[in-house]
Amino acid sequence: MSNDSTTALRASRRPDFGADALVYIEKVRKATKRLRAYETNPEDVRGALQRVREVSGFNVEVPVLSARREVQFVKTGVKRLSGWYMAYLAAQLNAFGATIVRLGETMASRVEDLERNGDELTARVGAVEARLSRLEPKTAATTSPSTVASTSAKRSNKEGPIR
Amino acid sequence: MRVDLYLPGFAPHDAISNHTLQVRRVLREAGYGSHIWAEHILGNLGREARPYQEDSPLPGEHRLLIYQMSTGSAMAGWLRSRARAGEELLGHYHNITPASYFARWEPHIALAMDNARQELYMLAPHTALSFADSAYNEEELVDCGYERTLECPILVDLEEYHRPPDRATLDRLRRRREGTQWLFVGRVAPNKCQHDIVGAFAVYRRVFDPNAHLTLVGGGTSPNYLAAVQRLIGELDLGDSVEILGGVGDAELLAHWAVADVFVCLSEHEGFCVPVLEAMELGVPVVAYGAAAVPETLGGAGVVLDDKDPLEVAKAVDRACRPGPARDHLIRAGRERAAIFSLANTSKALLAGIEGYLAG
Repeated sequence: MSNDSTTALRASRRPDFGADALVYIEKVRKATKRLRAYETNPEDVRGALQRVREVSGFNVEVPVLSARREVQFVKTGVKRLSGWYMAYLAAQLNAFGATIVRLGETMASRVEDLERNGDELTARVGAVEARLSRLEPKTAATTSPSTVASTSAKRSNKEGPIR
Repeated sequence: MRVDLYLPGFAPHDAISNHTLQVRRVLREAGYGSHIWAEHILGNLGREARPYQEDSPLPGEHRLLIYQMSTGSAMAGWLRSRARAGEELLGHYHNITPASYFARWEPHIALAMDNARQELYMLAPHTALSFADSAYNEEELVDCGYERTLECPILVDLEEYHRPPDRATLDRLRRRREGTQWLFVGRVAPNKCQHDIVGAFAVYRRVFDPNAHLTLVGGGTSPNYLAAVQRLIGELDLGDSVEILGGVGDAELLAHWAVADVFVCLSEHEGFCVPVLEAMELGVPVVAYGAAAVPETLGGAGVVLDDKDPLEVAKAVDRACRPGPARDHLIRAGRERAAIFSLANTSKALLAGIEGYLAG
């Protein structure tokens, strides 16, 4: 091996599958599942709103870890010095984000109401059209040209030939 | 005869940029003129490439244009216009991450990925031949309407990985090491699924080795996803057993490879996955989720999982890290597999592809 990993290998370690470990494994499963990518329908308003919600919070806990100790030191210093300023800005941005989410929820509800009303209207128009199509043959039967012709003929017969 | 190379971003420590430099070397050694043209030139690479807007064909000159396709760029439209003007356009597809991975975290990147895929479709009728890093990438090209394709792996100089590692970093890592050292190299991005690695590592640490350590190396493309991974590390009480380093220099990276016991890759989308190749070359066993082109790159020389359940991954890592014939086999098979992707082999394949095209 080109690396020196063998010195760190632990061959005789006994796995811990105790009750606490199993509870922890379940916790890990749930926590990692939350971060999975998911597909959403582009027309799905609630899905889009969920995405807005996920990015609406602004985190001021800037990562300071670095492989270089001096860089980490500088990052920590900058973070502490600018913390009050970042927190002030983040508070406003978080308020803005929350308001946008609220606006999105209101609009989503309105869109859903409109869609529901639209569905109801469509159903009602459909029923009216069905009724109309049932009525049309009867109306046509009473007002068709042959009916009109025979009615005229009867009237003519009664009145005698036209001269 | 000139064969010019085009890529959207030309940056240090970037696999596609390094590939492009190697392609230019191969072409020049074979007697072709070759220049690199890019949209964004970063770091100190200004001497190696020029902005593509400055490119104009010399009158009567016969040249090929090879576009390195991996992301969206205004350059795609410009190349289409060159192809329409009668120049011969070739492509090399390194894959485009599906937008769905970024939609949740960075909607603007998701949009950019969608645009990049549109450009891939747009260039299909104008591209005479397109190389693909893997059969997986080639299949995507065919689906996008590319009629003439050829599988040709990305060019990586594996000899570079046998340089001495950064001494200070190596000393630091050796001082702190106690337990099993997990390593993953790749940008912090939702498709790379660092959260799954953290989850599997947490279980491994709880069940198999409380002294284990995980190092995630790679620059970030999604700050929101990175923040979520950092929160996950806190939530799972992993403290400083997980280190997220961001981008590091080559020598420093070699120090991390030198102490790594296992390379764990749970990525869901890779067009090739160069770090898997690096691990195999350096004798670090690979445990990977079998998605996209990863199984193809591994070629049976690593542990391929069809399930990312944290406990299953932890068990697989435990098996791969135990000294014995199984681990030795993984290391040996990895090195043999990496040799297939030696720079000599891949350079030869690419040149044969280009000359085959020119010969008709």
